[in-house]
Amino acid sequence: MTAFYAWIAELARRGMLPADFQYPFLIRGFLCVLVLAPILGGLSHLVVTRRMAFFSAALGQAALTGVAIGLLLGEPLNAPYGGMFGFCLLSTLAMVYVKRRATLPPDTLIGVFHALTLGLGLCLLVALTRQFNVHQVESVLFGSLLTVTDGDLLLLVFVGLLVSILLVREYNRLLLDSLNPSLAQVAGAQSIFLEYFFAVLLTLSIVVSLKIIGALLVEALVVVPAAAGRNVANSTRSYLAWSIAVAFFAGAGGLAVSTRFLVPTGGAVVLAVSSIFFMTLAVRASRRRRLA
Amino acid sequence: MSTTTARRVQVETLSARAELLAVVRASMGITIGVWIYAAMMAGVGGNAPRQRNLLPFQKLIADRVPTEQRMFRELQEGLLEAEAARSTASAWPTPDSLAAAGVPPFAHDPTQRSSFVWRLVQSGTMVNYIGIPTTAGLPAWLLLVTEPTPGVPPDQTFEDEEHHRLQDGGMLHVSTWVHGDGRGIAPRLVRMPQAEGWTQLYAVGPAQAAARR
Repeated sequence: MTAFYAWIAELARRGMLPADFQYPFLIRGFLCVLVLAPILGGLSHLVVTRRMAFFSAALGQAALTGVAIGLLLGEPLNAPYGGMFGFCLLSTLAMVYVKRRATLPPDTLIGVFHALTLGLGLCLLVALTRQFNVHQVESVLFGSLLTVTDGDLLLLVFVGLLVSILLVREYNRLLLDSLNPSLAQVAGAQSIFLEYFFAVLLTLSIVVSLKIIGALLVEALVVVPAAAGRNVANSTRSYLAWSIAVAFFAGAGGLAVSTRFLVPTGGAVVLAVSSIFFMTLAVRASRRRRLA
Repeated sequence: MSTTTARRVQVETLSARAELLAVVRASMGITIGVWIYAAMMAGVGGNAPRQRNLLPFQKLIADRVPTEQRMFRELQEGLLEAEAARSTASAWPTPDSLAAAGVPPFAHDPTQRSSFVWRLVQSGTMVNYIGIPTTAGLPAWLLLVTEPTPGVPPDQTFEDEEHHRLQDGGMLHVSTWVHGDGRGIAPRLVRMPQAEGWTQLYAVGPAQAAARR
């Protein structure tokens, strides 16, 4: 990878690429965005259709607790993946099971999990500050490109490929199940399996994007691209394409803002994606005016 | 005229017990997997245990070359002198005044062949002492100090390698940084050194310092 970074830096020095690409961490960040955009954008419109926005927020908080558990188990500060994957997957299974079986409204139940994981995470973080400098944990909470390593990039590519393959394989059934569960069941889709399956895919994608976007803000990139895409799309295919495009431009724009103004990457990406959302809202309003 | 035949499909949902069993089985698999992974990570050898609590842009000075270790030690000494002057005079001393007082590494050291041009750069609560080498091939050094923000309640952080308390009770955030391309560094204020290719150096690291409290 060092040779690749040196080659890109040389191109940047010659003026063939933006000057920021002289830094390896920015090249890594851009590669991460290239991988993340199709995954999160692809999942995003299904998240909105399946009404799982609040579920994604709860997962982000669960990841925070997962980081704390991983660090307490003795994992490296820069890669507490065991704790994150483990706790988030367990939370996902529990949330989906309780949501399916309890008689309370789903948002109430997810709210309970949301509060529980956040409370647990905060208690564990207090314990953690006795072992770690709290400034180091901030990079996990808000996302920092500077902490992304080649190992993280490899993991992201691996999980990205896995999620993409599984998503493509089950996409039609997932979409039908999202729009009309009864029809999907009649068509042979296993609705229960699909619900757990999609939640697990979402969990894997959220966990690998945490280093860049941060535990507190990751839900934005899972929800807002689809919300923005919905404003301008006129078919399911264009809805998917717009979601991916919005996720990519928000990621790349957030990176640029984060580097230029030295603000956390997660915050910058969320600002970028929110700006795009309001632009699409304006486009939609102007289209309606023209049609009226 | 075509006729359509109605198809009758009976959908049997999984029983609550069967679903719970499947969820419990999956959860046990995840827990065992994490357990094995954590055990494997704990057994990773090499310099991993020491680097474990550091971010990618942070290093322990013990792992650096002797010339850098010497400069780091001198900078710690120089920083304490500068803090003492800041406590009494309410202003950060210039590198020239520190050099005149014989404080290393600002003062000329006849035993050292390499020399640095030191600059004090300040903006708001940020203070930089930047040392740029006069000869090529040497690293640049940076002492980054963040003063308490006026009007903000006193920081309750414990004193450690990165937190030094002034005589008036104010808590300073201090850090020491090195940059391999010393001649390429411009003497301007550095707010976020890690974003500009600097490496933060620790004597013992944040985890060990916190464990001593």
